[in-house]
Amino acid sequence: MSIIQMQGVTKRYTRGGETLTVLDNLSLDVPAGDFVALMGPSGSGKSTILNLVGGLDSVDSGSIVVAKQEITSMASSELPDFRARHIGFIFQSFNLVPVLTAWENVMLPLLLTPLDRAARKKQAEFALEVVGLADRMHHRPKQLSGGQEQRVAIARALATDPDIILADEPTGDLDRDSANAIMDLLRRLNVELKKTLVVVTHDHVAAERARRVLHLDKGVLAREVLNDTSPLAGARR
Amino acid sequence: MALPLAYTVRNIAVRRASALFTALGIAMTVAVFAGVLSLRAGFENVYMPRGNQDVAIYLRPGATSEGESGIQREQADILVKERPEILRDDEGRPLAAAETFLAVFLDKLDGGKTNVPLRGVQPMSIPLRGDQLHITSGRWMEFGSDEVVVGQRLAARMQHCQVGETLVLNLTPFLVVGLMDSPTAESGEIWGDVERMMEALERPVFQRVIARVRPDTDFAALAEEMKHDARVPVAVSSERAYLGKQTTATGGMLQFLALFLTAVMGVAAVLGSMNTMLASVAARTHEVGVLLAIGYSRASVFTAFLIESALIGLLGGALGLLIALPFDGLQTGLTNFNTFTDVSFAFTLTPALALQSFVLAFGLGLLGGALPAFRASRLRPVEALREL
Amino acid sequence: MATPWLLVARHLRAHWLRSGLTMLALTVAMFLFCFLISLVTSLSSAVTAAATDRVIVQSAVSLFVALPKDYQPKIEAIPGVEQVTKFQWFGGYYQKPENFMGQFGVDHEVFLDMYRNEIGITEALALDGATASGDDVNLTPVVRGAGAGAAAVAAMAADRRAAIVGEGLARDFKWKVGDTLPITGTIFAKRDGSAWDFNVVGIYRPLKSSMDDRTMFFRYDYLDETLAADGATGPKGVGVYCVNVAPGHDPEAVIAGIDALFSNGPQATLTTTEAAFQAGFVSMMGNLPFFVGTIGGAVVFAVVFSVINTMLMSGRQRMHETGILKALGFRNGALARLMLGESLLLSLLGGGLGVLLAVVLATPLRYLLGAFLPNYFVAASTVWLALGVTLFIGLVAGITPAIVAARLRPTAALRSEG
Repeated sequence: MSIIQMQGVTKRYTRGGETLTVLDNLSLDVPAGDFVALMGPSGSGKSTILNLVGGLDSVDSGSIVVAKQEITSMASSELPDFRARHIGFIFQSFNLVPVLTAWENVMLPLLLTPLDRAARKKQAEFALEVVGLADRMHHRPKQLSGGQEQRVAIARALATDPDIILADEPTGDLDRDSANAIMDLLRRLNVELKKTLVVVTHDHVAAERARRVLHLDKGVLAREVLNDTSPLAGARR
Repeated sequence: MALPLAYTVRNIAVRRASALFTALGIAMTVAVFAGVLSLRAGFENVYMPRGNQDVAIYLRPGATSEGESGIQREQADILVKERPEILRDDEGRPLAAAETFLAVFLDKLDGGKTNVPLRGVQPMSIPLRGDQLHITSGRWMEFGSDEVVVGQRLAARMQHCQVGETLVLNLTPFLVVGLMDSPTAESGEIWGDVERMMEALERPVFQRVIARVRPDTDFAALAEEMKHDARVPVAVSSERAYLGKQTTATGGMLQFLALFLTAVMGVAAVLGSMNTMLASVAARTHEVGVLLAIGYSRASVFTAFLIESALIGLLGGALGLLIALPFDGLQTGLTNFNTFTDVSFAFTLTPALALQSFVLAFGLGLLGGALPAFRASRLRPVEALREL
Repeated sequence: MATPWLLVARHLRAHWLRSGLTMLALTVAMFLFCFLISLVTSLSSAVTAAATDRVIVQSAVSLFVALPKDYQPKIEAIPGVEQVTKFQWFGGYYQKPENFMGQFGVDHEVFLDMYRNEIGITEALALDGATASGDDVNLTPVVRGAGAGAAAVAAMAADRRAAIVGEGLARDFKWKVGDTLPITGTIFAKRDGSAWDFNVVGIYRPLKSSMDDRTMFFRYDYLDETLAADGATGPKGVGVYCVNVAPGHDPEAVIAGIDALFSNGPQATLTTTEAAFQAGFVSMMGNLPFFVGTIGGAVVFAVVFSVINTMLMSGRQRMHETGILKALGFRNGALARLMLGESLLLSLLGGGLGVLLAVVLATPLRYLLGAFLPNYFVAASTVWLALGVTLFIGLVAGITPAIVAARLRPTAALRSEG
């Protein structure tokens, strides 16, 4: 059963008087529990897909159904609640709130849940444990390394227990070792916690962790590659 | 190597909203400063004795102003006729006059009552004032009849003070026959025949004698001599010295008000401009790093930011004066707390005051810019360059 | 409606210098605002607190024209008049001309009774021990508390030179009961050039804001007899008569009765309620309320710019964070509330401190203002008004960045620099 269904989605941007078609009648299905890597050159529309699926941006035509909700017909005032309930975002530049500690950053989205204080605390502790940062939770983002920052960001995306995690170049700002560790972590989220993951990346090595790699070019799906999905595949190299 | 002024000006232009808000904060301070002090300048102008320092004022010993004074008719006669320092005119008449003074209730045009100076004068009172005092409409009162002349500045603010109208003093109606004007206090007074005033008000006592005296009169010695005079002990002083003492209470209050308000508002304005400059520095940390890296000295970075702040200050000064300017010339009244009478005068924004306002604005700008400029000049180039 | 309020506190702290400077500017401005408003309310409080059952008789011509002494029995004979006392302005100073203060000659037989609601005697000379005191002031027998009022009446009656002084004067000049005060008269000068001597027999505390604590009351007959014996010069007669209207009588009828009685002279009278009389003195300050209002407005105006500036800066720096919060699922309203909350907190902290300062410094300021405004105080209404203005400043400064934050598109916000 598909958790994400994009049907004939077109998205254009106008920049400097010129209209740029970023996505051109694109259709895409992501089944629940899938781990998809989106690859392609700059401007091929990878990040746009994430923004549209996450309800951060709106389509020009076509429809998107996420977790059985057609977000393309939602009022813009409903989108924040949709994001809070179903989506976890991970960004290239981590996007932690600098004035908050790691712990507070993870607690931040939990404010949007109906959970009580104790339950929120439990969730945050769990998320930080998953990413292996329980011992550094009272540090500010500036006091952490890049890899650690991204782990906090992953914990934050994970904390509310969303169905879908969208990651935009999660390893783009990291060195090789940190990047591998982050990708392994994302893979664990998929395998152990059954999260649906859509990851935009330039990095072939990183993309190998996904079950499927979709190559985009000029707004259309160019080709699809199925990776070895055995649990041991991540440790192959 | 100094940074070009164009660099500073461009920075202000880029952050114009923020610069304008800061300038407006300074402008308000300057406007209040200039406003209150132009009030004081206008007030003291009225008492500024022009020219003649050879006019003497005789009061009862111990009295500091006319209102408190009292001189009996016989005493006044002796003074006028016998004092050797008093000059005489071609016909041998002493150039001296005994006058009464009373703060009377008058209805203001805009409602309410105020205390207005009413002066009973003798014929010699008019020439004693010199050429500055003149009739602007109607004529001088007829001595011996129930007529008054009203100062022009006062007439503009009071009821029943136009030519042809009637002013009732106690029980006696007086006809207003003329308006007089002078740059000094007379333009805010009402004048009538002293004998008629004394009768109407039932006050058979003069308040002072005013006289033209020999130019070489030594007032200190004269005052000392007259204080213990056996027949007519009086306090004598030059008109200039006398008038100078009539503004102490109200002038001092305005001065205090201006300084107090300026100090407090100035602190707020400096804090505001400090904020703006700190933001300006923060936004340009990277840029400062570049400047330092390519060889500009810390001193030139400091100067550039300081000039930026000072320019904003000057802009505020100009805006503040623009706000205060419409008040210049505006007629108003204030109570003189030395005499408890209403004084009519106009806000006077003197050139000196305008200059002081600019200096104040400049100073506020500099003060607000000093710390942020220092911060900018202390940035470490390597770290500054890392900031984006 | 979840709003991460923690961020407000964190941002104020992260930009502590900017927040601090803005708050300080607000503190200073709201302090000044309270001070200016208090000048006006203190001045006019004498009007609002004035006794409703008292009328003042003065000359219709001038504040400085005296009324004849024989008016008093005629006024007392008018129906509805309960008690009458003279009030004669003395206009003297203690030691230096700068030390001027209100001094009034009154009818000591009735004065303290007529003003029992305005003047509370805190200490008075005890007559029985007066002779034993000698030169040592410490031995002066003094009555404090409940019996002080009666003792003051008795002491006034016993000594022609008796005077009662306000506790403000007593404090400033270190006067004590039993002291003899040399007061130099400016209107009433002694023939021999000496100062007048007054003996302090009581110290009072004002019970209403229509009365200040920097006035001296003495016996009118001391002044009158000295003038009659030609021991001093100065206008004879009475400055004003203060008339208490008997309960159940209309003060307006009494006013009309008095003015009608003297309409043919020799001195026409202008009788007013105590409130109108006080209002006359307030109006002598000229357009003070307008003046103070203008400056107060300028102060608020100036500081509004400062706070707006700060909030605009804060808003600009927060764009990226706004994007993050929106991506996490926070609603537009939450983002607006954050900006508005920061602005309000900043304003209320700074402005509140200013208001607090104005309240705490009210007493030192009253001393500083001295004779100019002896009853300076900060009214509760002023505090509320100032807090309201502070709130308003916070709203005005926060509204623009709040709207901007709410409207910001998340993708654009995330693209902006952090």
